Amino acid sequence: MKFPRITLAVATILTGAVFYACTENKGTTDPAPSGNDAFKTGMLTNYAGNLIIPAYADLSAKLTTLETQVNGFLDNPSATTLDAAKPAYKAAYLSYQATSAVYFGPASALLLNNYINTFPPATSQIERGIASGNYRFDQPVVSDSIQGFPALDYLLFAPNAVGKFSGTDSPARKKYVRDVMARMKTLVSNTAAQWNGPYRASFETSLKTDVGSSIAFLVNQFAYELDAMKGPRIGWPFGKRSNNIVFADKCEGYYSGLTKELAVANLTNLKNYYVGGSGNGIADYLVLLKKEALANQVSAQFDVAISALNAIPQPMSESFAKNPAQVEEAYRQVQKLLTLIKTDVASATSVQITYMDNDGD
Amino acid sequence: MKTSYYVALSFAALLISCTDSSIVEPDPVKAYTVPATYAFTNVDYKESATRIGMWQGFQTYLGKSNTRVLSADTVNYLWNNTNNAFTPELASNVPYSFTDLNGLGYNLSGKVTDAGLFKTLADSTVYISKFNKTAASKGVPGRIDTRLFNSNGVEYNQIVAKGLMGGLILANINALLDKIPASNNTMVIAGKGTEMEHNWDLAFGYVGIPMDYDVTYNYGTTPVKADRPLALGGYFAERGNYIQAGGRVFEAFRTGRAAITAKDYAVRDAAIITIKEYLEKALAASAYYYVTNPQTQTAIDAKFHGLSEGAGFVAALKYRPANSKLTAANYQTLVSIMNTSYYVLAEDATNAKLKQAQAILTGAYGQLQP
Repeated sequence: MKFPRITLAVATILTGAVFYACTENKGTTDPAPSGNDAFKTGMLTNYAGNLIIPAYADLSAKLTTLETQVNGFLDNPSATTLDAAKPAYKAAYLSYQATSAVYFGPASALLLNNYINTFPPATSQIERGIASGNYRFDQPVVSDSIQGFPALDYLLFAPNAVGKFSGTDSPARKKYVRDVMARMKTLVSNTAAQWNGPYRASFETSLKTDVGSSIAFLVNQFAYELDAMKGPRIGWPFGKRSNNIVFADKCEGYYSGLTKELAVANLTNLKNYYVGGSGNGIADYLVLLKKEALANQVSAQFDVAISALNAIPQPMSESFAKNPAQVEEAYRQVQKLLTLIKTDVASATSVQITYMDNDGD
Repeated sequence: MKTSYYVALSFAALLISCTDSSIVEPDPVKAYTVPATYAFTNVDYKESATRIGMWQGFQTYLGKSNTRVLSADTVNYLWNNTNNAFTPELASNVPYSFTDLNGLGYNLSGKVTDAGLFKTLADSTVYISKFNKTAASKGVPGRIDTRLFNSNGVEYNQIVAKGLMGGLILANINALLDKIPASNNTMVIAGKGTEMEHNWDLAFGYVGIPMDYDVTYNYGTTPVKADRPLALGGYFAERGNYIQAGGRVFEAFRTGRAAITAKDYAVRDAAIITIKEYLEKALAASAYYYVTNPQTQTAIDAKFHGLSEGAGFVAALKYRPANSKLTAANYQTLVSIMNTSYYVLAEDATNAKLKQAQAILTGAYGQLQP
């Protein structure tokens, strides 16, 4: 178990070790590729100031609106009040997709994405929590899937959801929903606060591309998001892990029927991060590194994948079974994009993909 | 080429002997070669190598704490090597079988510096193993995914396993090497060599690498060899690549052993310096890796596991030689950083404390990882 990380490169270094007596060890060279520090500072400042911090601010605001609407529903549960709350729910969930890719630094320190968007929700565990009043949201892994957007998705939009807010256990159910809302707001505002605090400076001044640098975080997260798109968002419900047996209810936003909008928003936002919005982004950095063709190829592939997603008929959760050809096409295009980012972009920027690096011992 | 180098050095030694014959061994140094493997005559390091086997069995048992409630008795038996405690499960793919280990007549506890401390940590692993069915959170011991943590996010068994690389391995090797200059090197005991040779071989046994250690071989290749790098030796490849610890330590051990037989004490003493320096540095490089890598890990179980390993390697550095470049004050700072609740460390996205730990380690030892 200890050795799968031993690669050819490592073996080469080891071979070198035999001859140490003859040469002085100078170590490997700094992995930073040729690039202009001023450019990188500008790019990272653009990311923090124009994309990331505004994204968290927007999510915070949307969650506040959502809380008001959800409280309106809870105070007076009916199909009408729920319909009134749904646009706020959709707006907040779509806003989350603009922060999903930034799962490093403060968000990762607080396990934000794990806590607020681990899907599918563990519905029976949620019901048990409501019935017993015994639930904790702060247990890593275990409590990931009983809170956040997926829990709201189930609690508010599952069939017969509205009726359950008038039954005997309705006070407990209402409390649970309020607790979920409160926790989401706390986590997001804490994340935003850290970005507005000392983390921003450390993000903007990290100009290398080694593990733990800002550029490495960005490229890793681009790949990670695409892996998530290829796996949990499309591939797994589509049956890619289950011999083509479709598990539509495993998809993101299943109960609210927002699966497609969420997927499109996720990928659109990811492209926006890739190009750096209206400022400099990783795409421009590639151009600086004289990889213009790759930069354009990735950009074009983003568009191809987004339109392939858009071509899937609504509701997407039904299309997994009804329109497999369109889903397959979207899956294939996402995979192509993933390959480009994970191999070509990562190597062009000298970034090591580290997110699967689990210590095996 | 190598030989001539040593011959030249030995001439230098001879020259010194002309001026002050009272210090230097009177025997002249004969030309000698350093073999590519640890293939010397009269080598017996079973006593130390079996302790590495016992270390493996002990830490393997503690590692089961995530899936079973451990027995305090079994931990006692393993620690003191009584009641045939080693089983095939605990001693697989190691150079000595479980029956060999059970029949030794000596144990781990007798050779561990701060044995009481490590036993307490092992007992703590036993204690928290009863929480392995419930979820951990800040202030609450239990499991996160497949790993078992205490209320601060610490995997006790990692502190024991890695800490013993200092308290068992580094401490004994350095103590043996310190005895070398005063050891008898004329009276040969059959099968064991001279006292000096034997002390040297025992030190080699604690390193945990095979006699034909090959830095280019991937010891993870299946079928896994029973005679493979273990404990600190295992970390040469895992975390000591960049500083080339494995190649340097193995070569120094072979060179020093050949030099002892040839009574070439200048070369022997140089080898002692290399061994001490690079064993300590291998621990430091591992500690550095595990205060660095967790900073970018999102999965909390992997992150806390890494930090626990880091705390273990920092604990091991307590047993560094007196002339270490890591000062006592800086060491205390490292210890207090690793004593911080990992939940608290994890919540700081700037990783200020872990970065401070990195700076202390590179300040003392230079660059430790690529």
